[in-house]
Amino acid sequence: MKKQTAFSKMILIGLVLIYLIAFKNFPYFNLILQAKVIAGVIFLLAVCLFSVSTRVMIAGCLLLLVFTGSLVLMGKESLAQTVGDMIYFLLLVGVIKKIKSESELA
Amino acid sequence: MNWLDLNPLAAGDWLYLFEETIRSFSFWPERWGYHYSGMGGPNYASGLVYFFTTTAKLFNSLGASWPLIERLVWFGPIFGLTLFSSFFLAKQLFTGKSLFYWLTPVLYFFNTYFLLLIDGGQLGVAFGYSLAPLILGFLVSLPKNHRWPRRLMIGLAFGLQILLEPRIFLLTLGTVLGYFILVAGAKKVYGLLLFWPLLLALTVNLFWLWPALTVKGGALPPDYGTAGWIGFLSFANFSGTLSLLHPNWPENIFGKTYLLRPEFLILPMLAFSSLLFINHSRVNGLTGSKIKRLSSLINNSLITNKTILYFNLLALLGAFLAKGSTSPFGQVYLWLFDYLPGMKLFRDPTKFYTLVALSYSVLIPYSLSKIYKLFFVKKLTS
Repeated sequence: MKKQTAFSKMILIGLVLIYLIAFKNFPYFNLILQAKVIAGVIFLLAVCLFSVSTRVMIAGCLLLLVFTGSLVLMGKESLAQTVGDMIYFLLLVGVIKKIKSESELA
Repeated sequence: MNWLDLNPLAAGDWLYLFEETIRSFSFWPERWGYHYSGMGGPNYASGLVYFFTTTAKLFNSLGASWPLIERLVWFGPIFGLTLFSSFFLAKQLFTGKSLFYWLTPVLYFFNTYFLLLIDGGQLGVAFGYSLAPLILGFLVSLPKNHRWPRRLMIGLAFGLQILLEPRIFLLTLGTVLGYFILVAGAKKVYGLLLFWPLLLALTVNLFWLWPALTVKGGALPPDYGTAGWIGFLSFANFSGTLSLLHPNWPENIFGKTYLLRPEFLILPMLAFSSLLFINHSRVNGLTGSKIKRLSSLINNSLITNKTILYFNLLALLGAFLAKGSTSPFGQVYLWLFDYLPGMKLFRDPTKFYTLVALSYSVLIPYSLSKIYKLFFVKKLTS
């Protein structure tokens, strides 16, 4: 359980870092914001999020929504679109997982 | 100020009617007429057109001009009903003296989809949209109150929705059935409770439904059911539908779409943050008289975990369908359009924004009340 909490925190820190990097004038800014790199990072995050609790997963999705907003502000609309699509499916999985756990509790 | 004076209101699909045109209308429903195309033709939306022409003729015979008629019959009732019905739904779900359910009508009214429906003159759709929360509110409370006046009111509301906008009726019916199956537990009694209102609604609409479904020529225009329309009318993308942002906002020029606006992302963030609070009340059950007194101000205990999950799922489903054939998985909509009965009516996928608006107008007040409870009520009691 402790291991899982530490892991969840790590993911959250990772998400916050991505968000901060997006705002800073990072030297490799353009490289980091390439669609394929972002898609890869989010795919890895998605894989990680599946192994954590649903609440962490949803919190991750909400942070990704903030990240999408910052991408739009930076004029990276197509990238924001890709991230938005992924958030959708993560949220969908989160809701289905919640429904499953709720029906098990009932 | 145009809304308050008596200047005509006409834009997009909404018409201006001259006195002579109104006088030429019949009091009786028409299946065919010279109004419906250049050389005359079948009247496909005969329920809506019947309501449109008959009310115009009736009020005109009482001396009312078209600008007054459109305010009395269309704009006024739509605005009033949208605010009232969403408030009614909130009252059924948020019990007690919650301050946050006042946000439900605000969100249901002041969203880009509804505002552009009005701006584009799609008043039949707007009427159907305004009735949806009223019907859902009635049906949510139906297991508690299923006396015949309540069932009669549900039947009449359904009937009016079928008359004015059968597509939104189908969406509302789907929402209600989903609620009964996922939240109320798919009991046989709900089916029975729903049977009589639906029968009444269909019976009062038989005068136009029967000819529409039986007369040769079909209920839809010939090219209406072709999948080619979907690609042409799928303007929205995922980020837009999730943000409850109409693709044509703000200018509402047909086909002219705009990029995502980051400020609208606050809506899905607030709505989906409701998922974080699902087990909160179970884990951190409030105790103590002070907390109880304060929590009564923002009490929403009738909203169960299942209700929140249901509205989240509804929002996600609505967002997926509202984007139509746009990627990703745009083929799903095309497949549904070809094979799911009734889906041919939804060549314009933006109708599914109704589901997103309905869900967000419940979820956002819920999330805000929980956030308030988390940060404000705890501080007061510590």
